[in-house]
Amino acid sequence: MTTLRARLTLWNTAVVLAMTLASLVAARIIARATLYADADAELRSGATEVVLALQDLSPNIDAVVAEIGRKARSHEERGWFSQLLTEDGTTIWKSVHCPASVADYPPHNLDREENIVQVGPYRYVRLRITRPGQPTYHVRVGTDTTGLDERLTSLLQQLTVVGLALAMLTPVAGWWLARRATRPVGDILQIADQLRPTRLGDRLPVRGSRDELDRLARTINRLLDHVADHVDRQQQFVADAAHELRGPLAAMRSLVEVAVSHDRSPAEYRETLEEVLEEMRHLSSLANAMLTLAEAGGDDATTTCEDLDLAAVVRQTAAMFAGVAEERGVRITVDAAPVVLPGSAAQFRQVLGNLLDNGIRFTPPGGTVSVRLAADADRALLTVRDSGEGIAAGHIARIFDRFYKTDPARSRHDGRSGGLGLPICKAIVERHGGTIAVASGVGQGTTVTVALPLRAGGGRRPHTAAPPPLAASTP
Amino acid sequence: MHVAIIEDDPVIAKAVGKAVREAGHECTWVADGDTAIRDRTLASSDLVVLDLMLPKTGGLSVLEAARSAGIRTPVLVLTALGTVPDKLRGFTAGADDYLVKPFAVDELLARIEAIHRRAGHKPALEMAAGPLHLTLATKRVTLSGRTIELTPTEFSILELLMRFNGQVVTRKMLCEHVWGFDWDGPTNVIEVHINRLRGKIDKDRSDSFICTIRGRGYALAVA
Repeated sequence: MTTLRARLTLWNTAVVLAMTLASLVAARIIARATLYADADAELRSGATEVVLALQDLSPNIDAVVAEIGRKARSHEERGWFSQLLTEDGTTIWKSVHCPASVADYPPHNLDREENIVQVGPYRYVRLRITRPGQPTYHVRVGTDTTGLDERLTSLLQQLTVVGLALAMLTPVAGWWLARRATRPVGDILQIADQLRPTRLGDRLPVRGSRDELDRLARTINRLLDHVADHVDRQQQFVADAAHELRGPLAAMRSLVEVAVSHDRSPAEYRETLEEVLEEMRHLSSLANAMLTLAEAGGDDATTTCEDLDLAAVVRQTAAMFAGVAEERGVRITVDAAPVVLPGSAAQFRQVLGNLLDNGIRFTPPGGTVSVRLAADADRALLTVRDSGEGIAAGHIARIFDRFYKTDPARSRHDGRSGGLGLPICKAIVERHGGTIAVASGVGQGTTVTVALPLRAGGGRRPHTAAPPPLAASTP
Repeated sequence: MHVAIIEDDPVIAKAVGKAVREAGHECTWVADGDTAIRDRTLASSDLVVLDLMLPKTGGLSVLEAARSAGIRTPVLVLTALGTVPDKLRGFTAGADDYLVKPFAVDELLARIEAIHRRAGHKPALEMAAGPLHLTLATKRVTLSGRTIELTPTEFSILELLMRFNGQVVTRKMLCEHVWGFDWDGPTNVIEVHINRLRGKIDKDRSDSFICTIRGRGYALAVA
């Protein structure tokens, strides 16, 4: 009984059987009541006939007896019996077939016009005969109800046969209905069973019936869309990352291959090793950037979130870049209102650092990079605006894509974050529940705007500052 | 000083061991946590470089066991586990310092020196390197007796270079010393200050006090 279908069948059968049983009981009660009501009506009309005949007669008791005897004979043909009683219930006359149990049955409720009494297998109607100035009599007209009960039993037997036949058909019908109802679930199971991370193209059939199963299929399909999208992006990221790693690897390989191809002086070897070291530093930076991205984009609690003085982070990071900017003839202005929000200082230093680094690198001497931090009731706005060369409209849409470079000809060493700077910013800002946008045009400079909620809870998930328990810490 | 390296990667252990010995210290290599506990490596060394992902008993367990036994030998954790919670776990277990792989050997050596110094005596308040003289309290630097005006950033950089006179100081160490955090982005934010510092202290010299060590960092080379 583990399948839904079997359970549905079982329940269906149980319910139908209970209903059949209830119907049989109800049918018996109704049929019995109907049959007896009919019998009573007939007995009553027979008795009324006798009463009418006797009412018109003289008080002479012999004439009365003669008359009731005549009536009784015609009643006998229908299997009825009659009895005449005095006002106090003494039998004056009874028909030949009147059973002793009825004849001796003590009359009661004689003050009433009529009563109907069942004595064993017999049933009679008693009527009162009242005539002004004459003694009162009672007449009983009765019949044997055994036939009635036999008819009732026979009827019930037939109904029971029908009921049993239904009961035997019920599990079959129930099985069929359950199969019909659960077939879409089976389809869903079958398709879900075939899904593999490598083959996420399949979708569950939506029949358009708008019922629960359709909604389930639609929900699962949406989940599959998200999963497929996520897997696609991860695969793309891995492919891009591998591609990026090949650059420094190829450089190191050729450096070393050339170095070992001939005997060289220690100074030459030293130079090669230093060049290899430089490439390795580039590789390490790339690995660190990818880890930062994975950390910022991941859902595990790797971020410590304290109350962060964002203005301080802005000033510290700007101070770090002050020397570089001065050297390049670029002015940095900082206008930071006090803003405190839940966040990770290390991560926001990354954001500020990337934005300032970009701003300074792409601004010609004499230009300005202005950093502004302001807050309204529920969010902080951080803008980094440069007066640099700007970004063409075609690039802006893709500027947050991982490893995207506006200038493919730019060498590896010009941009050591390898096209991960802005994606890292975006991941960090979104992890803190904020948004990041770039507005730019060629020759107009670039403005990056970061909006952040001032209170936690606006993020994709609650941040936890507590480190995981130490017991599970040993790797 | 006797340095123990508890590390399962023989390449890293060999490289670090060589560097430590060349820096004038003794060095032993222990390849797994069980051996470290059995040989009481932490108790018998002056300083321990500890990997966390070790076969059999992990590095954190080794560290916790030693600390709960009252052994206070300075421990520098050297691991690929670099998230903030990882580091917090390391420090909670009793680490004195934490360095994430991939790392610069120069930085490791400098940190070993720093931990050793902290464990022993307080850092010098005055330092001298040839004609250069630096006083921490007054933030004053003199070259052959003449005062040189330095920005706080330049002073900070020179201070670290003088502290590790003759050794390589990486960009990361300088960034963290000057600003409190590292910048691993496209722009070298240290270089400009190094160049200005050179302009001020190398006035009448043909070669600079400060050498750029390609791929590694900078070093003060003053006898």
